[in-house]
This record gives sequence, C-alpha cells and structure tokens, in this order.
Amino acid sequence: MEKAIVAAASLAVPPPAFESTLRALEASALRNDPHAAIALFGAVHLQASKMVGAEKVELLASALAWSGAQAARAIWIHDTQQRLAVVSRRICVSLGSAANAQPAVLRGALALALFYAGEVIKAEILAGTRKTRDCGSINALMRTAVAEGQHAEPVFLEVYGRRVGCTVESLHFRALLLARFASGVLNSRQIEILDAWMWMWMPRLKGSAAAPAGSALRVDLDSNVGLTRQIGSDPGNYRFLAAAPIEEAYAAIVRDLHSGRMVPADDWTSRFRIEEHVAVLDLIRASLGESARAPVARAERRSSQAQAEVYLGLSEIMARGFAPSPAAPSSMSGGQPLQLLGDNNLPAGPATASHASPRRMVNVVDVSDTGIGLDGAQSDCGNVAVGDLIAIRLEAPDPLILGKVVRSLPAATPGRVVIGVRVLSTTAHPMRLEQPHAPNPLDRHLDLLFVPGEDGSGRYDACLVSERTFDQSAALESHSGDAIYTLRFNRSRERGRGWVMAGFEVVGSRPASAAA
Amino acid sequence: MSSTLLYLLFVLAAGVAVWQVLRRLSNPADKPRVKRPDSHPRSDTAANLAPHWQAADAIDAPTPLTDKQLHARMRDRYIEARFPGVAASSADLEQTERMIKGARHYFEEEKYDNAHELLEMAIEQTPAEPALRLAQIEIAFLRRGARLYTRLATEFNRVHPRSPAWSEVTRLGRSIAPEEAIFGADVAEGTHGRYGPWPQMPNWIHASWDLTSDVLAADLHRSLARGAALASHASTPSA
Repeated sequence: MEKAIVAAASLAVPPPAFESTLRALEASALRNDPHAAIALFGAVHLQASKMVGAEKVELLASALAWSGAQAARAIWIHDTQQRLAVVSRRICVSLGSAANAQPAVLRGALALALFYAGEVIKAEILAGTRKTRDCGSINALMRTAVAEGQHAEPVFLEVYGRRVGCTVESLHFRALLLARFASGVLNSRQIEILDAWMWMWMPRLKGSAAAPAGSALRVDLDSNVGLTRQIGSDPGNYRFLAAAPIEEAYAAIVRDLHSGRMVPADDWTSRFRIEEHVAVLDLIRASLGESARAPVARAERRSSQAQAEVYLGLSEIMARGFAPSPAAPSSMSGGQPLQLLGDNNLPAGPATASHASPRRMVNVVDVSDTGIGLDGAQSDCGNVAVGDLIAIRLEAPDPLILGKVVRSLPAATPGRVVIGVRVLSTTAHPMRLEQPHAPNPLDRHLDLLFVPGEDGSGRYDACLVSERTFDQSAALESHSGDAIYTLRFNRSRERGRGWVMAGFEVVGSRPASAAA
Repeated sequence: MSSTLLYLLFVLAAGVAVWQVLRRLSNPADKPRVKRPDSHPRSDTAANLAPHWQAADAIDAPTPLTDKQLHARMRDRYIEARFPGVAASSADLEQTERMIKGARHYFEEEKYDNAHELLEMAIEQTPAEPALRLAQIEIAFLRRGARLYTRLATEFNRVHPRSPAWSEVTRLGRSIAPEEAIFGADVAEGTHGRYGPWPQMPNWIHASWDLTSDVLAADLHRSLARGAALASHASTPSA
C-alpha cells in the first residue's frame, strides 16, 4: 500500500498553473519581498481553498478505504497546506521586520499564517502523517500580533468558498484547539466537524490577558506549549480562553441537534453520519467537564521494552485470545516471516494455512494501571481505529488484558502507528449463555465474554457482546453451578465499533434440577 | 461426491446451456426473460409466452421529505446515536418509566450528562409529564448541583404550579440552596409518607427497593467466579 502511494504521488500532478503560481509565491517569499508575495498570496489562497475544498469533499464523502490515487491526493493536500503555511510564516517574519509594513497588511498575513497552521494540523490527520507539533511558531505569530496591537482587529478570510469574519486571536485559538484535539482521538471527518463548529464560534474565541472567573484554558505565548488548563498563578505571557462562551456555544449546538437540525446546516460536514457528530460532542463535553473539575493526577506510566501479541475485535479475541494454549509470542527481529496460526492457535498445516491469519505483534511502550501505550507496524495496525476492542497478553502466563482503543495516530517513525489503550478488564473470561426463545436453533447458544465487576456485588458485572446481540434485548439464561439465572441486558457500560460491554439485571433464577 | 457424478452433472449443465442457445437462435421472437421498463414495451409474442411477466412499472421518484419530516428523522437518528440501547427514536422518549430507568442507570454509572440530556429530551417530547422533571430534579440534587437544581425547580413550578410534589422540591431545595427565596423558609418536617430505599429522598428516579435482583446478581457473580477459579486451576499444570 505504501509503495503504491509513493508511486501514485509521483504521478499525481497538480494543475500546472497552480503549481507555477505557488512556486512564484515561494520564490517571492525567499527573496524577502513580502509585498510581492502578499500580492500573489491572495490569488493562490483562493485557488488552493477551492481545490482543497473540492478534494476533501470527495475524499471524505465515502466510508470506503481509499485507493492509491486517493491517498496520493490526501498527501498532496497535506504538502500544499504545509507549503502555504511555510510561505505565510516567512511573509509574516519579513513584514514584521519591515519598517513600512501597513498594519492591515500585517494583520492579513498573520491571519493567513495562523489559518494555514490549523489547516496543516487537519491535513496531517487526513494524510496519516505525523510531525512533531510545534506550537512555538503558532504562539510566535500571536506574540507579533499582540505586540503590534493587531490581535483583536477584525479580519475577513475566504474559507472554502465562504467569507468568514474572525480575528488573529480567534485564529490562534482555533489552531491551538485543533492541535489539542488532533492527538489521535478524532478522525478526519470528526476534526472537520469540530473545525466547522469553531468557525461558528469565532466571535467567542476571545482571549484575555487576565484570568477570567470560572474555568479557562491558557497559553503561554513565550512557550512551545499549546493550550493547558489554568492551574495556579505562575508567571508567564498568558492569554486566557474562558470556557463559559464555549459551553454556551456547545449547548446551542445540542439544542439544534435536539430539534433535528444539523449544525452548520449548509456546511459539507452536515452530510457526515450523525455518529461522527456525536463523537465530537462527546469529546467537547468531556473536555469542558474536565476543565470544570479539580485536576486528577494521571496514573503513573512505566516504560516497557516488551513485545506482545494483540487481538483485534470480539471474534478474534474470543477465537484466539482465549484459545486453550496460546503459543508464546515469536520475535519479529531478523526479518523472520510471520508464523501463521490456525483457528485453534496451533501452527497452521497445509490444509488450514489459507484460512489462518497472521499474528499481530506490537511493542509495548508504557503501561499504567489504567492504560497501555503500544507501537506497531502500519501493515499490522494501520486499520486499528479509535473505539476498537483490543486484547493484549503481555507475558504468557498473565491474563489477557481487554481494552478499548482511545488513540491511534502515525508514529514519528515512518511506517509505525502509536495506539493508546484504556484498560477495560484483566479478568474477563469466556462464557456461554442460552437463548431459550431464539427462533433460529443456531442462535440458542451465545458465546460471549463475561467481564466481572471489581466488587462481589455483581452490580458492575457486564458481558461483551456484538451490537446485534445487544440490540436484540433477548432474555438469556446462564447455567451456573446448580442454578439457572435469567438475565437481560439493560445498559451499555462501554461501546465501540461493533461491540458493547453490556450491563445486565438478573430477573430470575430456578434450580437447574427443575429444568432437567 | 464421486468424480463420475460430477462429470455427469457438468455434461447435463452444458447440454441445457447449448439447448437454450439453439432455442433462441431458432426463434428470435422469443426474447430473453428480463424485465423491461415502459419505454421498451414487450412484444405481444413475449407477453403471451410469459403472461406472468409484467412490464416493470415506472419507478416512482421518492417524495421529497418536508423540512418537518427531515428534522424528525434527524432527531430520531441523534437519539439513537446518543442513547444507544436506551432510546432509538422520539417515540421511545414517550415511555416515561423506561426513560427514568435509563436516566437512573446513567446516573449510577456517573454518566451525568447523559442522564440529564435523556430526561431533557423526554421532557421536550412530553412536557406535561411531571415525573420526568422530578427525576431530573432529584438527580441534580444527588449531584449537589445547586444552580441547576434551582433552575429546574423554578421551571417545574412554572409548568406544574399546583403539584403536590412541590413541598418535597422545596424541602430539598432548602438544604442545597438555602439562599434561594423560591424554596421558602425552613419548616419542621415529619418523615411520614416518605418511603423507598432512602427514606430521606423522594425516590423520583424510581430506584427499586426490591433487592431480589441484586441478591441474584451477587449469587451469579459468586458462582461464575467459582467456575472461573476451577477452570483456571484445572488448566494450570500440576507441579
């Protein structure tokens, strides 16, 4: 796949007129001729905005996996936004040091530079690349704007065919908020939904030099760090972003969704599935809630050099993760070929080799009481997405660790993926339930994973099942010990792509001997 | 299946195919049996040969949804995505008891925003139902959210000014937000008439005081834990 992308990229030639104008713009910026560059930038920006907008609509319209040509176009979008971001920063530096720079021109240049800083962040997610996040350059632009008194003056930008009113400060906060949420938690569609809402919130993205009442985020303009929670009163060149206006804007979006109105109604993102919008709402809700609470110390992370095998999805976890005698993980060093396993986890013979699936080995980066950080090859883990159910066995006698993927993004090393996992349970085990009233005899037995709660009350016990099983809401029976318990799923404790960790209530029991 | 039988089946299938081709070549009027739209009417001969094949009706273009219908559909989709397993549509929100139970489950799992929003949407659906507002008020009290409690209580009093539950609302309000005038002055209280698993709470969230289900859940948990321990012991190789 990667070779195909590289090959396709060399063939994906952007429109010649645009490419030559972009090169002329880059040359002007390199010659330290900001006024000539500004004159060109307007036309390039309009053209880029139109082309990139059209490409994104097509790339994100379908849920199908991209072809090599589509992936190459995503890379072209990233490269173009990156080039425009570099050029705009260069222009700002030149204007900043020029004696006769007009305030309005400087303001416009700073606005474009911050706009493209945000666009690059989104493009990294789209193209599946990852660069070290440099908030220092973003903060430096805002520092210049504040020093020149241009941070709060109105600016109008053409954004994908629409004229939007904003300020340099609001664009600064937009870039930092995108950076904050672009840590592998949101996918391409979700980050575009978030951005569409932030364009609506432009008037609310207003900062202050003094800490406001209530919860807020802050940024130290002299640092390389983005937005952080406002804690303490240590000195710094801060700009504060109050949470209250964002909370009001968020509540307005929820009210619109309650009425069945997509937000924004006329935006291309309104065509995305409602689940994508709900995922972004959940993230914003969690962030707002977090900023209102006292900070909680993160669980201590212990570095690890171990390798582990991972299983992805409920079926694979049950078929292979809980197989009777899992084979010891094989080392991936020295270019050894993957060992193919059959369904019973024994080495596949000739008859079963065609049905076996390769093992998925990863490096364990760190472990804490609540999560695990993994690093895997793109070929093995490239399709792992946020919300997936995953199981890891760190060492052979240790129990299988069940978790939910909460972060997935390209690693700094090309061809690798970083995965963050939140631990759901270390004590799950397979269980069989009976569906006595299932119309299809083949559905009478239901094999699932039982996830016991941490206390002995049974109140927090759950079953890991497919979404289909959960939705059926059928009465189920557990034959355990000398009794038959009737239970019914009544809540979703956790859920992800295709699976639900379902809470249940025990509605009755009878002696097993009565059924015999 | 023996190779001879397979061979015979192959020969038979090939023979049928050849026969079909020869039949069509010999009778051009015998058109293949495919449905045709009205723009290509079938010949009388074809119709007579296969009277059960009717010319396909023109496909009616779907009637565009009105804005109201579209919004209703989007609202249902939002409900399904937002409250999976609890409510799938606006119609589900009208099941008051089920919504209060769902909100209680969310509260017990500390998903307070879900609980509040579920009740909020149920109230939007059936604004005249006091039980939903009272459940929302009780959850706000249990969370010690004084500002939210006061807002919800004020709205409840506006919508249900003669509700007998108001005395309970003000009693709880005086303990959580004593400075609010709407809750009146402190009065001596009796405990008669208050029941439920927590006698000091009105139990508007309909928590069950029948612990049978909880006892059975503990039994099942113990039984499964015993079974898992036995299975683990059996799979551990003996020294």
